[in-house]
Amino acid sequence: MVNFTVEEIRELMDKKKNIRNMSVIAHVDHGKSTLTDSLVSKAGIIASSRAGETRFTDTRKDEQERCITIKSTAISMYFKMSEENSCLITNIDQKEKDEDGFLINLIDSPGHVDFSSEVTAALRVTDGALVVVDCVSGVCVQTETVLRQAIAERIKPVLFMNKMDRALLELQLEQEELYQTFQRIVENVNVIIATYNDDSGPMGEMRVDPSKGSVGFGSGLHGWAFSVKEFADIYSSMFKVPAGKLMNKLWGENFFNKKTKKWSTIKSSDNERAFNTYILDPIFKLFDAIMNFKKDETQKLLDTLKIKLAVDDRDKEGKPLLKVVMRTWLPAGDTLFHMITIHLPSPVTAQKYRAEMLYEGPSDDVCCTGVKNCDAEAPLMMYISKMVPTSDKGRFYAFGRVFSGRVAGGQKVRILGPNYVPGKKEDLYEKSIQRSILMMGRFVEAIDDVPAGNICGLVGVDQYLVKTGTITTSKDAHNMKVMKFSVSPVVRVAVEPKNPSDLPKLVEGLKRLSKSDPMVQCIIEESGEHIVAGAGELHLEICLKDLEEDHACVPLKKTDPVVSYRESVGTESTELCLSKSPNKHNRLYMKAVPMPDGLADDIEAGKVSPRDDPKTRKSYLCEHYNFDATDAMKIWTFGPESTGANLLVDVTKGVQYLNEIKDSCVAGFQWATKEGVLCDENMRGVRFNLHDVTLHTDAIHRGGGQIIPTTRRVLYACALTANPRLQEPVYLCEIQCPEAAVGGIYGVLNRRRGVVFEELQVIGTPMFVVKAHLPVNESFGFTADLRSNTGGQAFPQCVFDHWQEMPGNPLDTTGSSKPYQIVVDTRKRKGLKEGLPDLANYLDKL
Amino acid sequence: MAALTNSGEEAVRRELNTEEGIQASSSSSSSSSSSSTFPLHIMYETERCVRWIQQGGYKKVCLQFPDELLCDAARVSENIMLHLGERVYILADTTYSSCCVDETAAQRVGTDAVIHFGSTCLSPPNLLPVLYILTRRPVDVNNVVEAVCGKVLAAKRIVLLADSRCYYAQDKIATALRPTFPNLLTSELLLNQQNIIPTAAKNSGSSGGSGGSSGENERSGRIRKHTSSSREGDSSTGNTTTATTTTTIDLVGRRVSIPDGTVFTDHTCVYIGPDGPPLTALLLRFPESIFYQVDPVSGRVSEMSGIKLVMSRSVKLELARDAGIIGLVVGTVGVSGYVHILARLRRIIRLAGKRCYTLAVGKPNEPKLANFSEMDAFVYVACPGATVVHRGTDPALTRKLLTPWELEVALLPGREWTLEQEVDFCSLLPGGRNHIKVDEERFKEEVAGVSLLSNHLYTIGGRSGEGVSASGGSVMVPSSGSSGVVARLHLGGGGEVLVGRTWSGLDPSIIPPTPTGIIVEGMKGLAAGYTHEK
Repeated sequence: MVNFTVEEIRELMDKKKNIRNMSVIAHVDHGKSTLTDSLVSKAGIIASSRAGETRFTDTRKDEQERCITIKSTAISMYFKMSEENSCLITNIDQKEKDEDGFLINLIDSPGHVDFSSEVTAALRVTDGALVVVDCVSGVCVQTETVLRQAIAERIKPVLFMNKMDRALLELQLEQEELYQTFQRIVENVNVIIATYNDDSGPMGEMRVDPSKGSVGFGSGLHGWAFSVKEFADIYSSMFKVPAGKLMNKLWGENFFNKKTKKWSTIKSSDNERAFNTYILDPIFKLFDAIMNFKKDETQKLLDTLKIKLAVDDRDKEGKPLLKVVMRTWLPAGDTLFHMITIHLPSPVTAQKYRAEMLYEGPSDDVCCTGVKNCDAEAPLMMYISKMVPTSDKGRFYAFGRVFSGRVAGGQKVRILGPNYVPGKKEDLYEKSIQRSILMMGRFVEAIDDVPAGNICGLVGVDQYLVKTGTITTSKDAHNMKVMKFSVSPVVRVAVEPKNPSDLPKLVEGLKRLSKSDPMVQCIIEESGEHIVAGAGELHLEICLKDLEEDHACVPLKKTDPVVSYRESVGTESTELCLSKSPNKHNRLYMKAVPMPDGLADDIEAGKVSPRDDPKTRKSYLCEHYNFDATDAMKIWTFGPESTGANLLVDVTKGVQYLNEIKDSCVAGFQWATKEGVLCDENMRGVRFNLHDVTLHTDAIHRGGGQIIPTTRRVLYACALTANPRLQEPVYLCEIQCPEAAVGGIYGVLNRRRGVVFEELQVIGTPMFVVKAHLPVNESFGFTADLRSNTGGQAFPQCVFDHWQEMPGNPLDTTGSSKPYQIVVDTRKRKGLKEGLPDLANYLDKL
Repeated sequence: MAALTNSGEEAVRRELNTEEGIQASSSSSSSSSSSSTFPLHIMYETERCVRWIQQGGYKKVCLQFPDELLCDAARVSENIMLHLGERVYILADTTYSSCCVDETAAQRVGTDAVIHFGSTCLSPPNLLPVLYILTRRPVDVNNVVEAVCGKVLAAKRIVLLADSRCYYAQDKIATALRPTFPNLLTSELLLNQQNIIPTAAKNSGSSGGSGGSSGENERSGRIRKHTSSSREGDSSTGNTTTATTTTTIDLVGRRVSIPDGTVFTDHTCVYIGPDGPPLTALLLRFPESIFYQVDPVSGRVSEMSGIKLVMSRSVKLELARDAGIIGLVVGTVGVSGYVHILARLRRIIRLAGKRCYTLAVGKPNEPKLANFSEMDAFVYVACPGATVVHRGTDPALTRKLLTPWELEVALLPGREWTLEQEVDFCSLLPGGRNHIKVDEERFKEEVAGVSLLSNHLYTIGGRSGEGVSASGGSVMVPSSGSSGVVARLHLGGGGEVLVGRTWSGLDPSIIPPTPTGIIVEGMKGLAAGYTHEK
C-alpha cells in the first residue's frame, strides 16, 4: 500500500528544504534499478518481499525482458524521518523547522554507455547522485564517466557498494580482504572526484567518506544495506559513546584490542580493525550460521541482534531466510533514505552554487537570482531535460525541473528552444500549459501546480520543444544552458519503409523518435536517405525497434550500420588555389592548412568557441597553438554550423571591399565544411586561409551569387591540393574478463584494427580490464564476436573517444587504399557522381 | 550585363546545357548526326510547316529552335521562306526551357503563330496557335523490337511510349511488336490541346490575386464543358467510340486508352527514347509502374522505377516546412495558368505563416539563386519537362528547388502525399485533376513539428493570429552611424537576415580610418586576364 498521498507530496513541495532531487548512476549491471526498489518498497509502492526483483523503475517491456535499463525513470516518494535522525541535519538550508517529512525525487538512470545521454538528462534536473558500485567488479569505465559528468554539473555524490552478498557467498572473501576492497573502491572514487572537482570551488570538498556515513554497503537484490552510521547508532547506546565519535572509529586505520580495551591506529597481533570486529563480524557470523543451516546459532544471533521475524518467515531457511533476516535487521530503504537526506543537498543548498552553471544570461538578473534563491515567487524558470512518451501516441510529457517560480496548468508561458536569442523571435513560442503532473515511475499523478525546486512533467507543450528547452514567464529570460553529452551519434543506419507508400508514416515516426530520445538524431540526407544515428549498436537497435513498433508502426527496411567520417587535410595546400566567380570578375586565392594537433578537440570541447571574446581567444590560440596574433584576431568564422572544428582565417593584406564579401565567404564556407569535397561528409580540423582576392569594382558583380559558389569551389580546391585525409571515429573500449579470456580479446581486437593501450588486473579479484581503441567502423558485431571468442566471459563497453586520421590518401587509386574505398562507397550510397572529385572542377587558371 | 563588359568570348565557349549535351555521353547519337541522318524536309517537315502557315493565313511566323538544333535554323528558315515567299523569324535562346513555346519573345515581334521544333513538354500554350514539329532522332526499329522482345517478355500488358522525337517510329515498332504482345497499347501525343485551358486567363490574370477566385470559377466552369471526369479523376475526352470500353489516361502530354477492368499500374511501360525530362516526369507520375527505357539506336534496355526518385524527393517536403522564406522562381511564362499557380502558391505560403518572394531570373542556376541567400527554398514553377532538375545534373541547384505540388503537400492541410507525384502544375489549379481548395480555416491552428533537416522546430499556420507578437511586427534598427537614423524592419523577412550580416553597406557618416590617398591608375583590361598579366 502506498503510504503517502499526492496531497502530502504537494504540501512538501513548498517546503523546499525538505526536498532531495537525486539520480542513481552507475556502470551497467551494478544494480541501480534493483537498489532503487528498496526505496520504492520503503515508500510502500511495491511489497518489500518483491523489492529487488520488480525493478519498478524499468517500465518498458524490453527493459524487463533484457534486464537492462534503457530510459531514465523518475519517481517521487514521501518519507518521514525519525527525530533522532533529523537532528543530524544541522545545516539550516537542509531542513525546514518542524517538518519531518521528506520528498525524494529519484531518477533511476541506465548504466549502459549507449544510453548515457539519459544519465546526462537525469543529472541536469537533480542535485545529488547515488553512485552505485558493484563491490566485486569495482569502479568501471562508466562509473568514472557518469561520476565525472555529475561533478561537472555540480552534483554531489554519495557512494553505495552493492552486491555484498556476492562478495560473501561467491567470492568467500575474508573480512580484511573485503575491507580492503571497500577501501580501494572508496579511494578510486575519491581519486576521480579529486581529479574533476576543485576543493576550493563553490561546492567545497565532495569526497565520500565512510566514517561520515556518505558511503553505504549492502545488497540491493536482498534488500539490505548499512552505512557506518547505522552501526554507530547501535553501538553508541551499548558503549555510551556519542554516535558521531564512534563513526570515526568504525572505519579506517582504527584497531581495537578487546583485552586491553585500547584503541590503536596501528595493526598489531592482538588487535582487530574496528570495521571488521563491529560491522563485518556480525554479518559474517549471520551469513555463516544461516547458509550452513546452523539453526541454534542462528537463533542465538537473532536474539542478540534483536531481530524479530514475521511469523511466516520463521520457517524459512538458507538463502530465503538470509534475505529476510538481513532485510529486517538492516533495511536498505532506511539506510539509503538517511544517506540521501543527510548527505545530499536540498534544492535550496544546491541551486546557490548551481545557478551560474545553469543559466546563460547575466548572473545578477531577476531570473538568475530566482534560481539562486530557489524562489517560488520569482519568474518561472524551468528546464525540460527530456520527453517522456505518453499513452497517447505521438504526444509526450515534457519532463524537467522547476528552478524558480512555479508552474501550473493553464499558465501561459514562453517556451525557449536551444537557438533562442533574447529579443529575437526564433525558437520562441508562447503557449499555455495544459496540466502539470507528477512522475511516479510507470504512473503519473495530476498536480495543480509545482513550485521551485521540484521535478515534474508538463502536458501540452511537447509540440514546441525538440528535445530540451527552457520554460519561463519572464520576457527577459535567457536560455538555461544546453546539456553537453558524453556520447555522440556516430553510428548510422538508413531506413526506408518496406511499402513505399508508408513513407509519410516513416517521416512522422522519425519525428517522434527524435523527440523521445535525448541523443538519437533523425535526419533526411540530401540524397533522400532517412538516417537514424545513435551512440552505439545497442542504442540504435532500441531506437529502430521503437521506431518500427511505436512511432512509425510500419514495417521497415534497414541498411547495415555505417559510420560518419570527417574530411580533413594532411599538409598545407601545394599551391595557392584560385577560383574565379561565374562571371570571371572575382577571384579568390586560398590555402588549406591542417590545424595544430588538439585544436579541433578544443573547439569541439568548447574550449575555443566562436562565442569567446576575440581577445581571450587570441591569447589562448597564440599561447597553445602558436597562432600569429594578427591571424588569431581575424578568424572570420567556425564551421560547419558556425561552431564546427574548421576555421576561415583572413590573412589578406589591405584588400579593398573585403568586408563586403565576408558574409558571402562565410556562407560558402559553412556550406563547404558541412558537405566536404570527398564524399559530402563534414570537414574537420582544417584551417582555410584567405590569402588574396580580386573583386569587381561594381558591387552588383560581386554579390552573394558570385562569391558563395566561388568560395565553395576554392575551398574544395584547397582541400584537394592539401593531401586530403579521412578521419574515422574511434571508440574507447573497456573490456572486463577473467584472465583466461584475455588472449581471446586480443585476437578479436587485432582482427578489428583495435589497439590495446592498457591491461590491468582489478586488485582483489581475478578480473582483468583491457582498455583499447577500436574504430567504430570495426565495432559492428564486436560484442557478439567477443562473447563467442571468450566463452561469453568478456563484456565490452564502448564509448566514442576521438577522431582518428586514417592512413592513406583517399585520392590514391593505385593501392586500393581503404580511404579511397570508403570515399567511393560513400559517394555511391549518397547518390553522388561516382568516382573521385576532379580538381579541375574547382581550381581555375589565371 | 555580361555583354557589356565581356568580349563575348565566354558566350561562344559556353557549354550548352541542353538535354542533348547531357545525353551525349550516354546515348550513341549526337546532335550533329541527327540532321545528317535525315534530310532537312523530313527532319523539320518544312512542307507541312508551309502548308500550316498558308492554311492559317498567318502573316508573321516565328520558328522556335532549341539550342541543339540551332545549327539548322538558317537552312530551315531559308527553305520555308523560299516556299512561302514571306519572312519568318527565328526564335532561339529561350528565356526559360526550350521545350515550351516562348510566347513572350514571340509577341515582341507581333507574331501570329509559332512553329516549335524539337523536344517538347507539350504544355498547353497560352495565346498563340502553335505547330509542333517533333523532329526526328534515328531509331533502329529492328534493334528496338528485338530488345523489347528479349527483355520484356514477362510482361503481359505493355504500354508503348516514345520520346517526342522518336514518336514517328512508334507505330512501326508497335506493328512489329503486336504478334508478340497482343495486348500492346500505344500512346498518343496530345499535340492539339491548346484549347484545354482556354484563354480566359487573360481577364482573371489582370485582376490579380485577390480577384483570382472569381476567375478560377469561371475557368473551371469552362473546363467542364470540355472534359468529363472519369475514374481516378483523370480527365478524358468524350470520345464516344471508345468511352464504352476503355478509359483514357493522360500522362504528361500523352494519352493512353486502357481497357476497362485494368488500371494503369497493371501495365508495363516501354519507353523508346533517351533518358531525360519526359521520362523523369513519367517516372514521377507513375512510380509504381515498371518502365523499360529502350535506347532508340542500340536497343539497350534499362529497367527503371520511379520509387527511388520519389523517395529521394521526400526531403523536399521537409525543406518547404523548414523554410522561413520561400522564393517562387518563375520558370515559364508560356504555360497557361502560371499566373494562377503563382497566386495560389503565394497564398498558401502566406497562410502557412512564411514569407515569399517571386523571382524571375530566367533559367535558374546556382549563382543566380545564391544571390538570394536569405531564401531557404525555391519553388520552381515550370513546365512538366523542366520542373524536376536531376540531382546528377546540377546538385547545387537541385538542393533547394521544389515543385509546386511538393510545396502544397508540405504546407497545404488536406493535401496528402502520394507516391504519384504531380509534375504538371496545371492539375493543381481549379478544374485540374489534382485540385483541392485552399481552406483558410485549416491554417488557423498552428502546427509545430521537428524538421528532419535541421532538427529545429518549424510551425505552419497560426502565426498571424496570436503567437509571439509581443515585440511587434517590426524591429527598430539604429543605423551604425551617429546620425540617429532608425530603420524599421519587418520581422521574419529578408530584412531580418540583412541585420544579421556584418556588412550593411557604406555609411557616409563614418570617416574612413585611413586617409584618402591619391588616385592611381588601376588594372586595365578584362577580368579574365588583365593587360599586365599577359
